[in-house]
Amino acid sequence: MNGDRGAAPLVIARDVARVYAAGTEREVRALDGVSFALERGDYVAIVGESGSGKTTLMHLLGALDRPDAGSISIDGVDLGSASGGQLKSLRAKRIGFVFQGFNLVPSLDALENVALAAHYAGVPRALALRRAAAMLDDVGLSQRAHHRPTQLSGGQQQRVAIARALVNEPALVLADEPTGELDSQTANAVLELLERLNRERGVTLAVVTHSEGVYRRARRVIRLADGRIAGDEALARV
Amino acid sequence: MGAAFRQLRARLARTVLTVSGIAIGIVALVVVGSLAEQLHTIVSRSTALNRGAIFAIARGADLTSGDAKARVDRAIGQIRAMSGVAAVVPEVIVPYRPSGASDRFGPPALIFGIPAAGRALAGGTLTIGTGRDLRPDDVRAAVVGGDFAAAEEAPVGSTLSLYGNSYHVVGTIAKSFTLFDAAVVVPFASAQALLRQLAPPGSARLPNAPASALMVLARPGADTGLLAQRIRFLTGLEARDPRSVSANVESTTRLFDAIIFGAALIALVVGAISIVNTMTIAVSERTREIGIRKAIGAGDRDILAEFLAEAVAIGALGGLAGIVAGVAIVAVIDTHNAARGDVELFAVTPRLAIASFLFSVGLSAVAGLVPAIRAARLAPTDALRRVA
Repeated sequence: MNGDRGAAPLVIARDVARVYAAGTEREVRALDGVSFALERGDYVAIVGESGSGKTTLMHLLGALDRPDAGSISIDGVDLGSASGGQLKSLRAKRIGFVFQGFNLVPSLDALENVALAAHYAGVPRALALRRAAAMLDDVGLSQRAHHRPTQLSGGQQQRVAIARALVNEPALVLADEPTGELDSQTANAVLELLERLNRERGVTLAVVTHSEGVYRRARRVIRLADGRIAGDEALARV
Repeated sequence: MGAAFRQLRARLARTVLTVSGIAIGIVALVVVGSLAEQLHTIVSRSTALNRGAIFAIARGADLTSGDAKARVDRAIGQIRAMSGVAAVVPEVIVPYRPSGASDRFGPPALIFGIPAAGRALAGGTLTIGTGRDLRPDDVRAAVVGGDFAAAEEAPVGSTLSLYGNSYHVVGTIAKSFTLFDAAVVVPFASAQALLRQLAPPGSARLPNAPASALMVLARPGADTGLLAQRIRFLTGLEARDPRSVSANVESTTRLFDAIIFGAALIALVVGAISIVNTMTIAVSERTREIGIRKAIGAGDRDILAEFLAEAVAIGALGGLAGIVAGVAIVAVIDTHNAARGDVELFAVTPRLAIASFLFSVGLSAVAGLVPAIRAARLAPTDALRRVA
């Protein structure tokens, strides 16, 4: 289980705005007055058309960016006022990323890819490798620990990416179209893995997706349109 | 560092080309640096050998001609009487080949004759390599330099012909990096006989004890410049202050150093530019990877260290390859020269090898710094938007 910090929501967003090329003719209000909260252990899908602000929201939830207006806090850290070091620490220790294109480092094997995230969190090398091995075992890839990404199938690569996202026992896992490059059977297996980790480890799972088949599996859906929240509804599990 | 080498292996062709660029620069540095090191060794050993002595040589009227004995005796007496003079040693120096021509690279081979008393003073830094040194009772015996022995095939036990006279080689001088490596040392009386033999026609009635030069050893603390001036004034002999001679030699070697290191630096800067190019391409290619690394927790310093490690790894590989190739090249040239009895031109000293390696690594780190800083400062959101 991740460190539970009481009843306070894990993510609190209030009137968040993010504007690109502000004050110019090319000004884009990617997010405009977005407010929501994510509880610990939540499983939420963030959906919307291209250009609706999904990626911008994911970058903010991943502590990769800061809002231009409003406030967003993750695990008690306010992104607007946090130092660069605090944001780095938040990304390394409290947030896990799963990307559409897997995005493993090609020169490292599966074990080293997972251990890399632990290394960035300041874990000593030997311990990082032990944790990475345990995490690969948990996602069913202990037999592939010393395979390079190019020697793994798409589904296996995504499982390595999930192991990497979870090796530091984060409070929040962000998955950006995690099944976008997988066939339906592999996609189902990857989603089941994420859902099991959400259930068993209590990790908050936020999945950004276009796919109805994916977002219907979440317990809550936040719909974005033109940088605003167009809907926020709880779903009954199918 | 292991991760850096793996990144380089992943782009093998580019890595090999970049490493080659640095290696060529380091080869140039090792070759010209070892040339400079050898030159410094020769200069410092020769300076040590002379021990700050003033060499007084006849100008115009030769010490060997006419009333040479009277001239030599008078000059020795005058110089000995000067305050600050510790000893005056007459010397005979004649060329090994009559024409003075040399088919070897390096100083010409010379025949030295120095009195036994003077040899202890003058030859203190020379040691015998094989065989034995000259003895006071030796006649027609010679001790030869190592290079001379190799070039003239004159090992210990062989017979040497000097202007038609046979000399028995009794010893060789250990490598000294001075004129004596190519020299023949014979008893003083034998050298004087050679000098008389070489005297021009018309000066047949030569005295018994001519000399071709006087080595004047000054007392510690004596002003050698002033002494040289007095010798010139009183005896009419040519005498130069050894300090001004060594100052001239030093300024010449400094100029030589500047020229050759400048040339090597140009080669290295070209190599460094290729590192900048390689690392800039690497940062551009791996922009999305940088974004991913930042997303999973890498800080600016982590990214900076990773790219700098790659530049340093290129420098280390190029440095090692360049040193190995440079050592091989100078070894081939010197082996060839040594077989002919020529001067060994190069000295790859440990300090040169270490300095070349550190320079290669340092230069590569500096060259890699700008691309690495660019990588570290990439905004993760911009980097992640880059299509993989």
